[in-house]
Amino acid sequence: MTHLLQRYATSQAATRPDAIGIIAGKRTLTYAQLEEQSNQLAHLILQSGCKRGDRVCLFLNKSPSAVVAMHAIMKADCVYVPIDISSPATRVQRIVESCRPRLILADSSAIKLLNAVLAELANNQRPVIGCMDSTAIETDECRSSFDASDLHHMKATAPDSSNGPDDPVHILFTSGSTGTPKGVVLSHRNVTHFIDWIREYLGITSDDKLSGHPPLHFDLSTLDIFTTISAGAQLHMVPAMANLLPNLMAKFIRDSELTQWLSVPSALTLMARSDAVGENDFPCLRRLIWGGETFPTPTLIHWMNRLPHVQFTNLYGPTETTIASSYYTVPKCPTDPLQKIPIGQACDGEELSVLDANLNAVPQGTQGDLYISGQGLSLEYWEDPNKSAEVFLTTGDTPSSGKIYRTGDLAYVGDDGLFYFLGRNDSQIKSRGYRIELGEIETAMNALGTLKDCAVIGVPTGGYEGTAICCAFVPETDDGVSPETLRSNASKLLPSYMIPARWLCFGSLPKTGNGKTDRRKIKELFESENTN
Amino acid sequence: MKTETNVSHELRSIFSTQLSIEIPTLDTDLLDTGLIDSLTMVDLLTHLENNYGFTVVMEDLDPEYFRTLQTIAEYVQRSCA
Repeated sequence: MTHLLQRYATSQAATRPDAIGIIAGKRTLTYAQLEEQSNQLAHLILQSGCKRGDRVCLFLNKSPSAVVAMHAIMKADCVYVPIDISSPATRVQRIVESCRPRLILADSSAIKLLNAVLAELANNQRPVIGCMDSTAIETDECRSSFDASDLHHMKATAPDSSNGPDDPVHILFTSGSTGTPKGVVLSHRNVTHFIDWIREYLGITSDDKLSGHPPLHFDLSTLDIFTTISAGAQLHMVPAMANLLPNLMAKFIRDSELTQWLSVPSALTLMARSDAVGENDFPCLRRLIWGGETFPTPTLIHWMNRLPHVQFTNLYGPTETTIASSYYTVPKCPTDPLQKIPIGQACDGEELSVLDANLNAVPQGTQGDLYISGQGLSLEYWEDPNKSAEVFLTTGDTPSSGKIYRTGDLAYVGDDGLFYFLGRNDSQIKSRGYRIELGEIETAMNALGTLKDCAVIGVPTGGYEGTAICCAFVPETDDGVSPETLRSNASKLLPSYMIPARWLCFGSLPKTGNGKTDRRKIKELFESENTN
Repeated sequence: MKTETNVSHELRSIFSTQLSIEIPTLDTDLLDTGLIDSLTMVDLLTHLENNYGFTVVMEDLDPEYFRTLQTIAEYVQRSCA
C-alpha cells in the first residue's frame, strides 16, 4: 500500500465491491459506487482545468456525495479544503481568498452562502463551480459548469496520478487569534500513518459500524471517514436532527447498531444530563471514543456505569499534528469524581515532550509546555511562514525531521508515566469540541462599530458546554447596546459556536495596575454571576 | 385562554430577554437558520418549563416542534393542556 489516502477505497472496491461503506438515512454508497463515482468526478475536475496541487473547496455537508468529492479531488492530485457552510459568508470568504481554489464543489444547501461569497470576489479570482446535485446551480452570481448528471459520461477508471505521500491532501482551517482563520496543511503520509495505527489499535474490521458525527472541517471527521473505509467497515452519518435532541441521538445509536461511537464531551455531557441513555443500553456498542476537549470525570463515571460493556478511549491532539497524538483507554471506572483522566501516551510514530522555555525537558511531575513531533507533524500553515515559524520549531535532539510543534497546551508527566493536560498558555479555548481563539471573537466584536471596548473571556463551566464564551463590553454611545443586538450582529461575522453566551455591560472595563484589561477580574465577575 | 399568537409573542420575548436571541419574525425557520442549536435547545427547554410550568418529556420531543415560534407555541399549548 503506498501512502495515498484515496487508495483505501480503491482496495475495498477491488475486494468487497458490493459492501455498503456509507449510510446516511436512506442513502447508501457501496465501495464500488464510491470508487466509480469518484473516478468519474476526478475526470470532470481535471476537465474543469484543475492541475496538480490546486485547491478545491467543499461547500458540502457531511454526506455520501461529500465523501465521493473528497476522493475525486485526491484522485485528480488536488487538495481538498472543507468549508463550514454554517459559517457566515464574511468568514468563508476570507478562507476562499486565502486558499484561492480553482474549483468549488457545492450542492443546493450551500447556494445562499456561495452567492454571498462569489459576489465579493473579483472576477479574475472566481473559481469554477461544480454541483454535486443532479440539477445545475444557476443564479445571478453563479452557474455551475458541471453537475452530478454529467458523471456517467465520464470514464469509470481513475485518471493517471503523480502525487506521492508527501504531497498535501487537505487544508483544514482553524480559528486564528488575529481574526483570520489559519490553514493547517496535511500530507497523505501524515493522515495514512495515523489511520493505519488507529485502525489496528481499535481493532476495527469490516464488521464494524462507526458513527460519522463531526463536520468535515473538523479533523476528527478524517478519523471516522477514513478509518471506516480503510477497514471496509460501515460509516453511519449522524442526522443533523439527532444533534439537537439527546433522545434522538440515543435512538440513532440503537437503531444503527453502532459498534464504535466517536463523540465529543460536550455532546456526551448533554446526553448524560438529559438521561437519554439507559442501563446497559446500546448492546452492540464496543467502544466510545472521545476527543477535542476534556471530559469531566463525573460524567465519565455516569457513562461507564451505564455502559459497563463498552471501552472508553480518549484521543488527544491538535490539528497541526494530525487528528490525535496520544491516547488513553480508561482501565476501570474511576471511583473519585475528582480523579484526573490523563491524555495518555503517544500514539505510534509520535513523540510528546514537556519542555521549559529553553526547550529543555522538565522533571517528571513538573508543569511545562507540551511539544509534539513525529509522523503526524503538519507541513506548515498555508502560505503563512511567520506563523509557521512561531510554532513549528527546529531542534537538534528530536527524532524524524528534527521539527517539533509547540501546542500551546500545558501538561505534566505523572508518576504513572502518562501525560496529563492542564490547560492553555494563551487565549485559545475549547467550547463544545470546537477550538476557538478568543482573539478572533474580540476582533469581530470590535468590528461591529458599536463598542468602545470589549474583552472576551472563557469561563470553564464544568457543565455540558465546556468553556462558556463571555463578553464584557463598553457601548460606544450613552444609548447603550443590548446583548441581543450584539449577538445578532456578531452572527454575521462569526459561526454560532463562537458567539458569546454571556454578556456584561460596563462603563469602562476593569484595568490592572499597568493599565491592561484585567481579564482575571472580569472572569471572576462572570464566575460570581454564574453562582448567584 | 391564551391564543397561539399570544404565546408566540411571549416566546419571542423569552428568546430575546433570556437567551439573548433576536427572532426576526414569527415564521422564521429557527432550525435552518441555526438560531436554535443543541445548546440553545437545552436552555430553551429549561425556560419553557419554568415559564409555563410543565415538564418536558424528552422521549416525546420531535425537532419539528421547534421549527418556528408558532410551532413551539403549539407544542407549549399541547403540553399545558
